[in-house]
Amino acid sequence: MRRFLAGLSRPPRGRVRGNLTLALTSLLLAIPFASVQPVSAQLQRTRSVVIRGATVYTMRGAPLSDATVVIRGGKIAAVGRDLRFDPRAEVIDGTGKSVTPGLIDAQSALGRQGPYNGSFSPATRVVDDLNPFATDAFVEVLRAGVTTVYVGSGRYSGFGGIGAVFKVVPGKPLADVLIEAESSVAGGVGVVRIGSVARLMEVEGLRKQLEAARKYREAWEDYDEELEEYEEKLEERRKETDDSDGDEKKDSDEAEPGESKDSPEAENEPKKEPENPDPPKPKDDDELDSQAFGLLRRSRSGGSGEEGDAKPTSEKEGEKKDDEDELQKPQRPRVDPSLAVLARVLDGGLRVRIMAHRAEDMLNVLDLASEFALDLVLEGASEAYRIADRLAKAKIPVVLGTTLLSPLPRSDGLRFHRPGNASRLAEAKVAIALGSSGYSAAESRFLRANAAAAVSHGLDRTVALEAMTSTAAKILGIDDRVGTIEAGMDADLVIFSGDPLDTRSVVEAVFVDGVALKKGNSK
Amino acid sequence: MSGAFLVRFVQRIVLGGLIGSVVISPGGAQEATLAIRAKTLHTGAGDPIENGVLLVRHGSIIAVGSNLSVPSGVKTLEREVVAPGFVDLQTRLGATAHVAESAEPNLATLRVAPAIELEHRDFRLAARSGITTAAVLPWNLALVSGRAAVVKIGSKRARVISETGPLVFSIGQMALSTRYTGPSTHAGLVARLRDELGAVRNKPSDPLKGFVQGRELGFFVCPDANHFLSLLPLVEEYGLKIAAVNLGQKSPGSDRFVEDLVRAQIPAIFAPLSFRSKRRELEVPGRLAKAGVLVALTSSAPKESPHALRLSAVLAAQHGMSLRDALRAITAAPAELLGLGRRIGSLSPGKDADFVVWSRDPLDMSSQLLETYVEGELVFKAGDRRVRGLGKVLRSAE
Repeated sequence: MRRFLAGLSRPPRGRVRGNLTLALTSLLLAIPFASVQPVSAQLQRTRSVVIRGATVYTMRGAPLSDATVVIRGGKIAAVGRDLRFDPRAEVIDGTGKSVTPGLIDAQSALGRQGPYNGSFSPATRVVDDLNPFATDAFVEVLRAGVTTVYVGSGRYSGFGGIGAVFKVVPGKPLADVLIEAESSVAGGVGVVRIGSVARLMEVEGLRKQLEAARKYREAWEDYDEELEEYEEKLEERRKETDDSDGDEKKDSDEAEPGESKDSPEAENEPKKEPENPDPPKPKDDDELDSQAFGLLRRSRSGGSGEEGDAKPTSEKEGEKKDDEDELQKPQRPRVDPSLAVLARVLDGGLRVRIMAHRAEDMLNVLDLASEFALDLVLEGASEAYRIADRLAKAKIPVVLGTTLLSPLPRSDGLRFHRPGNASRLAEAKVAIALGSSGYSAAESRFLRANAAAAVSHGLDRTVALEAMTSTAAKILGIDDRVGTIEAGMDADLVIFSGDPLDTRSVVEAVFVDGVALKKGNSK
Repeated sequence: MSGAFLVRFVQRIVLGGLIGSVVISPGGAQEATLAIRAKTLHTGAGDPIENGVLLVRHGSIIAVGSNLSVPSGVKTLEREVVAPGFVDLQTRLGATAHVAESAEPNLATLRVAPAIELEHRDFRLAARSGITTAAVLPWNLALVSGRAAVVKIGSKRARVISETGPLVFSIGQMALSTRYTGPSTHAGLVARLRDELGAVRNKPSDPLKGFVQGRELGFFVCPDANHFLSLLPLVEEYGLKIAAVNLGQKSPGSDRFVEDLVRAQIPAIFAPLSFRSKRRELEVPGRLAKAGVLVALTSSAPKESPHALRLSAVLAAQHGMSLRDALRAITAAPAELLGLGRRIGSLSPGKDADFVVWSRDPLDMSSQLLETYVEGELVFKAGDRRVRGLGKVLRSAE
């Protein structure tokens, strides 16, 4: 029975065997197979796995030699030297091997269905297009030790869509592996259009969009204020009239704003004039609202979707009402999903990832970031070494793509691409994460080789490893779950046959949430 | 003094496990000699030597061995890892578009050598990625595209060491140029090739004579595996010696062409492997090398970065190629394919002292290139913006 249990805790190859045993057992016990499945998953989570004797790169200080990592319930239970652990635990001998946190590809294309060259609204979410059933690519990437990926929207001119962060688990529904469905809004300068004027126009385009978002946000804030005032007054009036059916009315108010029912009800004179007697302020934004999709701003998801086109009619109604009553319901601004997303950016609720390669483009983007107080991450950044000190001072993290070879061959934007870019940024104490560049799905499997290439051009080994683990997690804002080996963190681990940055080392085992994908498992 | 010393010196070298013979001319032998002691010395022939010593004189290697003692007075460099300089079979280093010749289908007399800018910065970039010898191929716009040049990297300028490098043929889309009145289909190309070969047979002398008689190796640039395989009957009929260049770019990992190539033992020269290559594509060099086929990897610099050469070897090694085969694919194998196997490609006595100093194993991508030497002369040093001559750096090193 014990061996049977051991078989269970060794997925996925072991799981096949275990399931077979289970199936047989279930037949014998006349228990339906389906009811046995959750038991195996449960066992997997409660039994602990121990990796012993390995060099553990905790990413918190120097690596621990001859250390032990205990995994339980999908989390890291303990890490250290001379640890005591459950004798029934499955023990993996890590002598001569190294253990790192699962690698994080901060710029991947895994699961993305296409090259994304089309035109994008910032409201587009990449998570809605990811295909978690591209199992081959997922397995290849996971086998290379990459357990977490950021997949951006890939719009490299103006603002694009919202990127996602998820764990690499082949064949699992995305909902189960998502860490952040909305990680950051993508943008780009000088990547698609490389003419000097075109690049300046792109920066201007970003600025215009952000300004529009600012106005949009103000309009909504005004509206919220006015609405509150209006409701207060309505309440006051209700109290005055002291009608018995006030409660019902109140309910209907919330459900549908701006109905005519209210007006005759509130026929009494208002005590005070509204502070802002003419509410068509959102009118100013009309030209910006040309792309209303009838979707709602995220924070007000409770409302109905008729607002976009309903404005003219409600205005008419308003006029009518004006004749009858001076208390006027404020007009709801038009909903624009793109501007709504950018408004969240302005609120600091959403990071911005701008891809830019040339130093002057990056400087323009930095100006933009300070102007609008953006939570900015630069992406690509081939020439970042030229402005390393500026980036360090502004505390702008950088996600580097391919470090060794030109990330975009034959592109003018990369005149000054240098393989020593990463090392220069590290020297200037700029936070860097490494990405596989995000062009094709399985490219993430070369994340480690890419980091090694940066090391070959002077990048410190520790910084290189951090750029794929702890720093990457920090830049993605997921360092509370992944990126280090500490008690309480997700049990995402890689066992390498040797030094993790030596490309001759091979990945011997990968754990995601404590579940192992063994080497040699092809599907 | 020097006579007695020399005797002792020679004795020591012989006792120390000298490979090959040493000829030391009297007078100033020590001054002209350079010793490099490496913790790991990859000779490119056999297993790496631990604590190996490389003795260099007048640009040539005079001795290689482990625990070889170095006579006093000889300048000695202590280094971590030393490996042969890389040989890149497919580059256009220093060659501007002037080489894109397509006047007619048969350009057998065309030589690339005159079109190379020997002071081009490409060569410095090559030196810093470990390349010491490069073949500059003609543009593959004509059926017989011309002759490649073989170039050695220098500290100030590159040197052409062979104007008459391999003959390059082009069997593919590129050769179906509409700019000349040549063949417009693959079948047309093969027919034209047959005609050209037949015509050469009857001539007393021709630039293609050596090739037709099977004495000279021809490089066949042919990205399409199926098109390449269609040449095999012709090759057999004439007893031609050919190497496949860029093969498999269009049908990577096709089992059939791997089998056919193994059967015919045709050397394979690959286009650079990269992060964008598919897994099956990356496995082909290893599969061929395992089956005994001579495999060379290339960078296609400057179209790709010259770093692509080492990256190709690293990627091939990660996909089933043995470390030894992978190193061979960028050193000894290409040297052999250039017909320069006796001069470059490995570190053994009598060969040119073209070597690279690394911080770690050259096939560990995280390994840093520290110095590049060509014929005993330092042509690149990490951290130096300017590339200096050997003498100066030696002084500063001491």
